[in-house]
Amino acid sequence: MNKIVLVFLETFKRQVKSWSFLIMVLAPFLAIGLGLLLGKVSSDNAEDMVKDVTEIAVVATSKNLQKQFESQTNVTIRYESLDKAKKALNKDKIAGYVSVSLKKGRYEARYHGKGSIDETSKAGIMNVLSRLQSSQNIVAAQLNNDQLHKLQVQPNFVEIKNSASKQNQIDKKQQEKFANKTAYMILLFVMYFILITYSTTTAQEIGSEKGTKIMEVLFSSMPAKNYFYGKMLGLTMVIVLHISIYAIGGGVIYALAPRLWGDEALFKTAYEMINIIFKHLISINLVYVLLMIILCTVLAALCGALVVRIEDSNKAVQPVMYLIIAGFIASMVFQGKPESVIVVALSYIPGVSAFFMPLRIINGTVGTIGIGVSLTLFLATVILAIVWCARVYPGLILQTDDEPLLKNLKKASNK
Amino acid sequence: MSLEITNLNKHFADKQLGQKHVLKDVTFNAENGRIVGLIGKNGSGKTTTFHCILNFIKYDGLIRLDGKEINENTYNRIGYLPEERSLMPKLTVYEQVRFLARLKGMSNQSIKDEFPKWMDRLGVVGKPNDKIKSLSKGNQQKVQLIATLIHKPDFIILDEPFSGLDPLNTDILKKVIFDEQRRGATIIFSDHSMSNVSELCDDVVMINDGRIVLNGPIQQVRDSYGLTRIIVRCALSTEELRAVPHVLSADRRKDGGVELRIEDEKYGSEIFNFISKGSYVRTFDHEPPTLDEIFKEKAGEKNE
Repeated sequence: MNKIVLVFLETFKRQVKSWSFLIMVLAPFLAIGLGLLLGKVSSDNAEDMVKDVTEIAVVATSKNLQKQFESQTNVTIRYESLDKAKKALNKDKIAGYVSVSLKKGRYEARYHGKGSIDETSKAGIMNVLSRLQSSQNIVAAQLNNDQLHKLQVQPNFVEIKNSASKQNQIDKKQQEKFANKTAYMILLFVMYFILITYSTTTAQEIGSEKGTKIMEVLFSSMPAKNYFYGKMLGLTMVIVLHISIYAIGGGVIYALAPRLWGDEALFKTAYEMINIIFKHLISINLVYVLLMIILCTVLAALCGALVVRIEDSNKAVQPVMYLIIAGFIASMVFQGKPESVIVVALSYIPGVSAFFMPLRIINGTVGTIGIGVSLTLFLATVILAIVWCARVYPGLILQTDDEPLLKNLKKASNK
Repeated sequence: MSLEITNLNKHFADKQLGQKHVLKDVTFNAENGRIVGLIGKNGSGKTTTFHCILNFIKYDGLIRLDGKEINENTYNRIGYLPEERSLMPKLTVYEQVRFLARLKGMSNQSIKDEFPKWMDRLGVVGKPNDKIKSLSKGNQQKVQLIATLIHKPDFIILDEPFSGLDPLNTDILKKVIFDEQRRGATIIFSDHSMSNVSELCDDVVMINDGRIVLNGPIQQVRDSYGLTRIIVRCALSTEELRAVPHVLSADRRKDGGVELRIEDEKYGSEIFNFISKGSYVRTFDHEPPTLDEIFKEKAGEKNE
């Protein structure tokens, strides 16, 4: 097997098997799971509390009659007898009960409760009673079919929407704008979080290897630059795995969320917007994120290779952190101005372009040629960075002189 | 595998000097199947020479392994044990050896076959699934040696392999070195113990202040210094022996003999006659200087 692949697999395996990786990957899912669980428990409790206090039981002389009230809001027909309803009332399981009966062609309803019946429940029950009483009256009047039809004529209510399509378009545009903004913010935050986390991890990983004799043993088996390529590939793939887990996890949550929350209607209305967000996330923007991850990993590795003591690796990686933080803050400032000249200019500067070109792509303010030029510049920079870092890496990694970082770098370049 | 080093020069940046010339026209060979001892004071350039051979650092000059520059194929034929031991503490013994052996081109099956043999041969106390960090320092050293030799390298570089080893493990390592030579490997190692070098090596190369000061088969090197060392057992006291003409020094040894250093080997018979006139001479052993004496003499010389 190719030695670069062996180093890649070893690095990948070691990182993925570590507790820190597992915790880092699982933390958001645990947080979401915990949030869902707490939400579910508290909403169930709230629902139970609402039911206990306001629910009205309807008890009728016949089951058929009782069933007529089944669909009414805040009304239950689970108590079959007045005794049972009375006991439930005493135990505060219901707010009250209504006994319904038909006496001499007239429906009668009596409410028993600790307080007054609420107006909504009363209106609902009265509505059903009116309907039943009408039917009863028709039967009692012994009308023929013609008379019956005339009595059943209902008023007509027509709803006419003015400029419906125009309003729809405005709504759709607003929705799309919101989805674009959300997609960009998700992309930005995920990229920022990943870059900040892995830049430090990479610098520490390389810093911990520096100056150890195991590196000499490894370099007696393969050229140092090949080891560097394998190492970078391993670290990059760990990040790719991390993002993939988030993407798959996000998809699973997206699919299960309606069932978990039990409000499918709400999610159905959000699907259209979520689809727009997905479309923006799984697009050329991912290439920008990936290139930025590779660039930062390589630069962080170089910073890690510069230090003599592992505890200095956090200090050495600061320039990379500043680049990430500056890009993040600037993109937050300009996120509402995708057509700004500054955004346009920054979207062509390799590295920084990962923060600004996605903003333009998502908002549709750049053409294919613009994206092509920006990507070519970015790709060329990443390749140059990899080649250059691989060239100076062997000189740095075996160096143990406690010199200023830049002097170390200069020394390594001349080795 | 043979090694040729011709006019090897290496400069390092230095705070005071600007440039420090650490290897100066170093030239020597290691013939196929020979054991070569690379000796010299601390900081004389031994490890730097190894680093140049392994292509860790840039250098001026010519280094050839079997007549070729180090390349992807030669890497697999080299075994290297660095001066300080260092392994990956979180890996298990087997994982560590497997990773390093795989980098040397070994297949998983060969590693599986060879690994237990080496664990037995070196007497490693520990199981294949034990973490490296749980092993004692001595056992970690043995694991590192397994990783150096398991792929049956043709060219072995051992940088101070005996440092930190107890006498029992020193003997095990010496046996392993001889076994590797018998297998056909060329071995080059550095050590500060001249007795180890004398016992193990066919050839010796000494570097002092970056320059080769001794180079050749051990006996030849010693002989080139002449028979200037005499071990004598007789009735004369140390003071009386010191007063003998052409004797530079006389020191009593623990075994009762007296070690004389003489001006030149040609005075040997004259000294024998002088001593034997008045007393019975039980021992008169006329020898070249030991490697230790040569080392001390050479290490004291200034080359520049």
